[in-house]
Amino acid sequence: MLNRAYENRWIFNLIMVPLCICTLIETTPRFTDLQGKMQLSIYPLLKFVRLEQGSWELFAPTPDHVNVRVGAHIYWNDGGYTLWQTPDWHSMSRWEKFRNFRRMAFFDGLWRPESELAWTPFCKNLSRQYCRSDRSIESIVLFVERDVIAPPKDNWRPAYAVPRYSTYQQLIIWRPNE
Amino acid sequence: MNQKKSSSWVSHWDHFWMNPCDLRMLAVVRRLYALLLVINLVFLWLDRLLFFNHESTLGASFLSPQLDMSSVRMWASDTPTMTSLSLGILMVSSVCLLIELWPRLAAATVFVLLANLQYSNQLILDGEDIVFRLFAFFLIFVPPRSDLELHQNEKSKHLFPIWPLRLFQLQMCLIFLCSAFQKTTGAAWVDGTAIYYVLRLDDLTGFHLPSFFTESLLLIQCATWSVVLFELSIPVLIWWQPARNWCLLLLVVFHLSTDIAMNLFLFHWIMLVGWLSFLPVECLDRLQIFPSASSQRTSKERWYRFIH
Repeated sequence: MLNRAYENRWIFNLIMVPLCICTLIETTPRFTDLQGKMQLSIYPLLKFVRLEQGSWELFAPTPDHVNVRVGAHIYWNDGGYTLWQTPDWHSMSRWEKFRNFRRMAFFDGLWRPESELAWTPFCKNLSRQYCRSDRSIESIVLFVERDVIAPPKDNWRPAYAVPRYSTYQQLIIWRPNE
Repeated sequence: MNQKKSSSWVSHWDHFWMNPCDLRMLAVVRRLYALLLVINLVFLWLDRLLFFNHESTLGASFLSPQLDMSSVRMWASDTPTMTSLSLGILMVSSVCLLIELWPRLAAATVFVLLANLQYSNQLILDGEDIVFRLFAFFLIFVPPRSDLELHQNEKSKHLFPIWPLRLFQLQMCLIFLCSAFQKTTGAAWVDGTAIYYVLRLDDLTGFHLPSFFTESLLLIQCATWSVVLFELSIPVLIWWQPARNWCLLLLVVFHLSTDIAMNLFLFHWIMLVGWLSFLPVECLDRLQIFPSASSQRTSKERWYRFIH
């Protein structure tokens, strides 16, 4: 088997060498403009063959320093409202956090500007979930609350403390008829 | 002179990729990978109606723009039944990988369907999903177990080149090196406070660490800098034979302790599976996992002598 593989190593070189080079260009941090241009031109090709892998940031260059809670005010036509919020991660056990990992990732991505396209379908889904026969939904206000972790020299925060959500940002106002 | 240099460079290249090698470790990697994939799929299955298809939380209007012509979902309907079917085939394929039934076909199926599923909803993607997808691609090139062992006495029947193992090894080093280089450009990693922030993120913390560590800036700084140093040095040192076992030991400690302290789902486990590609194959003989034919013969002989 080796002899055949060794004789046919040009096939390996022909496919794998360009692939390895492309991967290397894609993954290494951007040091020059030329590399940036090459990354941009290579990315669609790697994405098409499903072998793109990004830049392996893994909490780099700056780790997240914001706790986030996504919420929605569901306003009813009778003037009342219902509050929906993401689960309280802080009170979850280790197992519950493991089980809900995908949901955490989902909500952590949902509020970001690049996920703007997801806000309307998300509100629609909320309206389906909260649909009631006796009253109808007037509007849904999707919002995010943030708890920014200050640098330790400014304000030391004990680890595992309950987050203090203070910064409120409205994401979208959704109305059923729009 | 130049010709000589280039020919030696080419022979080094060929030796690095094409050297025949006992690749039984890849059978272990394949099985452990399949086991982790099954766990991953079980959790995706539980949330399948939430994350994938027209009636999901996101709905088609968000999901469709991400699809391109190479996506399976472009060609198939996007209903809960299709999502369940897709996950079902993935599950069957990962079980096939686990029991080594048509492993290459199973790996190819996993690669295509996993990529398709990941593209369907990129909001739930994490680093481990990329590792799962890439490993599925590498496993396409790993032959069945019967072809993985190096039989020196038989006439070059089962001499498989080392390159499938090299793909795993280089990928692992690439992840660590890229991450380390990224970290060196970040202020929080340079001033040593990165772990301070990570330990205060509500959703990512795992089991609580002792307060003498979490409340000491000096210890946090030491831990932060040692992570960068570790990620920079391990991908280099692990290629040096005398240091390899120590590196592997440190990697196990690093990944397990990080998994205890943080909630990163299966990331550290799939990384450990990847690092297994550096483990010497003799360990398998010692542990009697997929023992080589020669060691099986020896142990049978010993057993025979013991009985008689």
